[in-house]
Amino acid sequence: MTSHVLGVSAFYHDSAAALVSDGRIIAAAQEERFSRKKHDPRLPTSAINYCLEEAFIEADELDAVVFYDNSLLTLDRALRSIVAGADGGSDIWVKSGPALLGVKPFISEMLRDALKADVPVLFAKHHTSHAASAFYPSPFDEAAVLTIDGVGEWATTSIHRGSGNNLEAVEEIRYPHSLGLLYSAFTYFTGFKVNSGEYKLMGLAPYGNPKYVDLILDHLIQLDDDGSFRLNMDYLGFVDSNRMTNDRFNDLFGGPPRTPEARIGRREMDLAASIQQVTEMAMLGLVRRARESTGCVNLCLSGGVALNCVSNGKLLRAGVFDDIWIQPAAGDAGGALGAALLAAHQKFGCARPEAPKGRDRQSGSYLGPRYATGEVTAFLDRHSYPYKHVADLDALASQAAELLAGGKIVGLMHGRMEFGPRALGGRTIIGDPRNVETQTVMNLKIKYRESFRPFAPSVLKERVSDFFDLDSDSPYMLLVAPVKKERCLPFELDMESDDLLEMVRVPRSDIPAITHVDYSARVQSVDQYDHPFYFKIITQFEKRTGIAVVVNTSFNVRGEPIVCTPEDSYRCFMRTEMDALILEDCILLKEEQPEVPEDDSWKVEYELD
Amino acid sequence: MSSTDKKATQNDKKLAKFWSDLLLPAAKQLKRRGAELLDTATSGSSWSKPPSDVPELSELSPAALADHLQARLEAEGLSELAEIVPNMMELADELRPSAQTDEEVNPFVYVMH
Repeated sequence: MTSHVLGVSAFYHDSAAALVSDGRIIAAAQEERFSRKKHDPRLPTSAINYCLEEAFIEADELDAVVFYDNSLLTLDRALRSIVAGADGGSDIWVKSGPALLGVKPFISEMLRDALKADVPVLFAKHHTSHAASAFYPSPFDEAAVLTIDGVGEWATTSIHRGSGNNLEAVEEIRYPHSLGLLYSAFTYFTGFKVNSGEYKLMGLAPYGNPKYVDLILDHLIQLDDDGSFRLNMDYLGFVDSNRMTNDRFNDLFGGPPRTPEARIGRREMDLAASIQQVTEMAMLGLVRRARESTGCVNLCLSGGVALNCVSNGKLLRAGVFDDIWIQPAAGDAGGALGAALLAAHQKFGCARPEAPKGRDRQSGSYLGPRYATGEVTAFLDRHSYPYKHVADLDALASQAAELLAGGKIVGLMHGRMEFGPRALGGRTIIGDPRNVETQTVMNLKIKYRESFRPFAPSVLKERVSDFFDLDSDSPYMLLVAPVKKERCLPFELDMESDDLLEMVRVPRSDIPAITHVDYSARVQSVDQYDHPFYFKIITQFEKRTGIAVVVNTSFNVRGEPIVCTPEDSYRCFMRTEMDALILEDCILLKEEQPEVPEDDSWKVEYELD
Repeated sequence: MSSTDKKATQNDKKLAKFWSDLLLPAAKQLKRRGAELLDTATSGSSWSKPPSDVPELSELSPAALADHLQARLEAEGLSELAEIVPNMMELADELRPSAQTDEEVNPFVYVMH
């Protein structure tokens, strides 16, 4: 008999649902994509409905619903933390009380109410959910699993050992010692938003000089030889205040935090470089410990810190493990998937499905909704939007490549939506990486965001080594690798300057739009199996230009969740300066679309991230 | 003031009262006797074994949650906190309706606690 398990993550940030049948992943999606509210933490009712629809089942056919976090451990940890910080006053208690007490004890009932079905509700441990999300979909039969995040229950870092369909906890590091929270403290201090701005800090790091590393190691974090670490809470505010840092932290780094949206200066760049280097040191220690304590030769990574793709690339090159697989939804959304997989394998005894040869069980992370041609054309016809239906996907890919080679920017909504924070060709904006202007145009006229952040390349899997020093697949854009030396152009970064725009504009390789100032790139390798149409577009682009790479950025504007539906896609297309839009097998050109009235008010619709 | 705002203010008052009547006195008592609430030492290995009393997958009704939490705090020598768990669950029940509304919880507060 088939077992159906629904996993849910919610009430923290990035709520999501995932459905697993007989140990096989059927669907997974973040709520924000449906609600259009970035990092939506609410109960993911739309994502749940979508998962049930994709599986063609009703809620009462579920064998279990598994919540990704154990309320007992969370309440225990939060209560003790609040009492430990009691000298700081009642502020934290009053602010967090409604969410903590008003939600945590009642999750079973809330889920049953939402499903309108009396199904068993189980609670998995937060880090076990992360670990399960990393191990079960991986291509490995046996692996060490390292999970690192900010905080959930007590654990902030954990090591598991996975074998077959079994997952065993080995050891953990507990709150308040948290690498994720330390990184978030610097995210806050440099003026970015905690829980969403961490990747901006990572993107800023190559502009900086890591001059604060010793200061951080002397005062904020002690790294031990056994891979463990401890934070010095004298400098951090998250136990006894509702701030990440305190006055002592300010004194250490020469003044108060940067005001959000204020100009980024040399201090912020150097802090970014410094905390990045410290994070890499800490992660290397943890990875070595995972190798020793499990004896495994392969590693799986998850937890929010595993989204630090710069560090991941360095871990791979360090060679502690033979191979590394990283869960693309490494943050809390992925916990929904892990919770469902954990119950499927450990409670219902499902065997792991066979991994396709040389590949993983995550299906390219294309686990969200797909819109059929009929749905797309119905939407376009209803609004009388001009489009061409091109049933021959080779011809459509060729047309897209022609536009790209001519310097046009193309929005692409094709196939199932990605699960996880990265756009991988399902909901993507693509451009020509050879064009010096592409980065600036895409940043300022399409994404409406700071322009220091680099774009990522999507490269044909077979051509990765022509462009990057990378010996491994990187299908989920979670590894940063150096651009091949022979492609790089001489460029000296002025480490005294704080003019980011000036630094960005200097071409650094023959694919400047995706080459960061340190000659690195966040690589997505594309194969013909997981997303054949995206593969075709890049192949056609290569035929025209000799370059098997396109620029890939997520299909959204700053602060907006990545698009989900044809309607979301069309709206974003028309509000920005994209030139063409591909909706499944239909193509729309901007010049042919009806004019929309000038109205910038939508830009305030999305809270800045 | 909207009904949502009124509710939030009432909740704040309830939480503040709980703080001053129960939580703060418990915190003071725990501090006086040097009870360890968090491991904040700045040196030494921080590796621990995962708690063996919590299964990887468990069912948790509100009553079971309260019982387990109380037992856990008691076992760790934090009887001052264990004693207030029943009151805390009563307060949780009162706060519950507001948490069921569609309002977003401040993610910054959430990451902390």
